[in-house]
Parts: sequence; C-alpha cells; structure tokens
Amino acid sequence: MMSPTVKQVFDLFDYFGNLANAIGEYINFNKGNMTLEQRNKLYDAEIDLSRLAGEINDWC
Amino acid sequence: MYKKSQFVLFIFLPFFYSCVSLTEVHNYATTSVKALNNIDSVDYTFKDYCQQDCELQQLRAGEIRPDFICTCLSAATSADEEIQKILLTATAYLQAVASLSNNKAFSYDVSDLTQAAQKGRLLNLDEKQVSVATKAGSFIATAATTMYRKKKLKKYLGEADTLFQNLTETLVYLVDNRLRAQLKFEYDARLANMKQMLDNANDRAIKQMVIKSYLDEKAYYSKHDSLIDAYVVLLKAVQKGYHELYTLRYKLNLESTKKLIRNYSQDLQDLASSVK
Repeated sequence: MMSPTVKQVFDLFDYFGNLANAIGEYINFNKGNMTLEQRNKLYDAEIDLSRLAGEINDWC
Repeated sequence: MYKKSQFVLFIFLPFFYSCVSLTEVHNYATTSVKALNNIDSVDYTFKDYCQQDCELQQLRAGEIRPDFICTCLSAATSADEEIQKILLTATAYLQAVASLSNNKAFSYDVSDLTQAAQKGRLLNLDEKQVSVATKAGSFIATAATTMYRKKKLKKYLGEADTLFQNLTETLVYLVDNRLRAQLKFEYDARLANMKQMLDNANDRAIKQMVIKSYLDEKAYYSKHDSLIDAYVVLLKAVQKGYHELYTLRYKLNLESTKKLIRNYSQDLQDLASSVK
C-alpha cells in the first residue's frame, strides 16, 4: 500500500474539520425538528470529527 | 623615529579604514534574536493541545477514570521539540551575524545544531523542508567551527541567505499553519461539546456555568490566535529584513543602509512588544 502524500493528509484533516462544521450548522438550522437523542448523536459526531481532524494534524 | 611611525601608519591605514563600524547590523541581529525568542509568549504548544484534548475526552466520558492514558503526549512533545530545534537553528544564524558584525570571532556548542538538523522526524514537513533544516544546521555549525571573522560577514550573508529564507519559511509554516490549526480544531471540539451541554441542561444555573465556560474558551482561543498572528508577522519581518541585508551586503557601511537597518530594528522591537 502506498503512503499518502503530505498534501493528501492535510486534505483529509481539512475534510474532517469541514465535515464537523457542516454538522454543527445542520444542527443549528434543524434543532427544532430533532429529538434530543438525534441532536446528541449529531453533537457527538461533530465533536469526534473535530477531534479526529486535530489528531490527524498532529500525528501525520 | 618619526619617519618610522609615519611609515607604519601609512602601511596599516588601509586596515584601520576597512574596520568600518557595523554597530547597526550588530544591534539589529541582537534585536532579532530576542524577537524570535518571543515564541514563548505565544503561550501555546502542541503539548497544550494534547493536554486539553485529553481533558475533553475525560470530561466526555462523564466518569472519573484514574487509569486514563493521554496517548498524544509523546508525539506532541516531539512536535514541540522540532519547532524549538528549527528556532534554535534560525537564532544561531542571527547570533553569528551579531558576532561577525561586532568584530568578534564566534564559537559555540554546535552539537544542538547538528541534532536539530539530523535527529528525528520533522512534524508534517516534506522532504524539501527537512533538507533545508539539515543544510541550515550544518552550514551554521560549519561557519561556527571555522571561526568566521568580521571580514567574512559578506560571505556569510551571501552563502546563508537562501538557507535562512527557506528555514524561516518553514518556521512560518509550522506556526501559522500547523499550530494555528491545532488551536482551531480543539476550540471547535470544545465549542460543540458546550453546545451539547447547553442543549441538554434544564437548570438555569447550569446553563449560566456553561455559557461562562464558553466565554472563557472563546477568550482563550482569540488571545492565542492573535498571539500567533503577531508572532508570524514578526517572523516574516525578520525574514524580509535579512534578505534586504543580504542584497545590501556590499553597502553595509553606507549611511543610507545604516538608517534602513536602524528602522528595521525599531520595527522589530515594536512587533516584538505586540507578542505579549
């Protein structure tokens, strides 16, 4: 398996960071239509993705 | 006897004449070293990020876990060390300029420089950047051991310019891009966590505590983001200033050059005071 290039890794953490932000925006706009459980699942995903982006930034 | 003195003076006059004062260059280089060492005032490191992230993980677990292991500490410490090594190489270059322009030979322990250039992986750096750091460390170490003197300043500035420009570019990249990104990701994760806490809280007092926590986090993020901004501006000013010094290396004794260097020095002092 080929190792990813530095650019590919940076693209990846940008991708996860952007995805986390998109989830945050989605929650903001649709909060009223979601149950607390649904919201919490999305919040968890947002936090995990932000953390993952931070980890990729540090480990690569 | 009189004639002998005149003869001696006549013979050595060109040597005295060539000893032009390079006080401005010396002061500028000394100011630059102090300015670059202001990185501590940024007060944010990869290790800080790691500790904050581990704290967030434990908070989110919602229970006390004495056996929790913070797995990022080793890599974060290594990342901070790499930045310090590159900074050490850059300041060693400036110290050499300060010594050469002070009509003094310079000699210092170069083992750290060699280590900076050769040891370990450099965080997120590509092959070209690693090569730049290696070359810069080796060049400065060699310059130090061969005891360049004042008359070698032009040669030193000439040979080191590209290396120093690339080295500072790498440092700008690590601070402006990588360290700043780390600060942002951690803030984003904490922000999402606080939004969740606020959404789940029914008690007004708890909501107020969460909001206070949000305000503290926001202030922390803004403060450190601004400090990174200020330090990057400072780094770029040093980079630009030394390239200018390189282009003017044959005119260092001109009054116009001295004035320009004095201005650079003053600008740098002003910029350094903003990194507090």
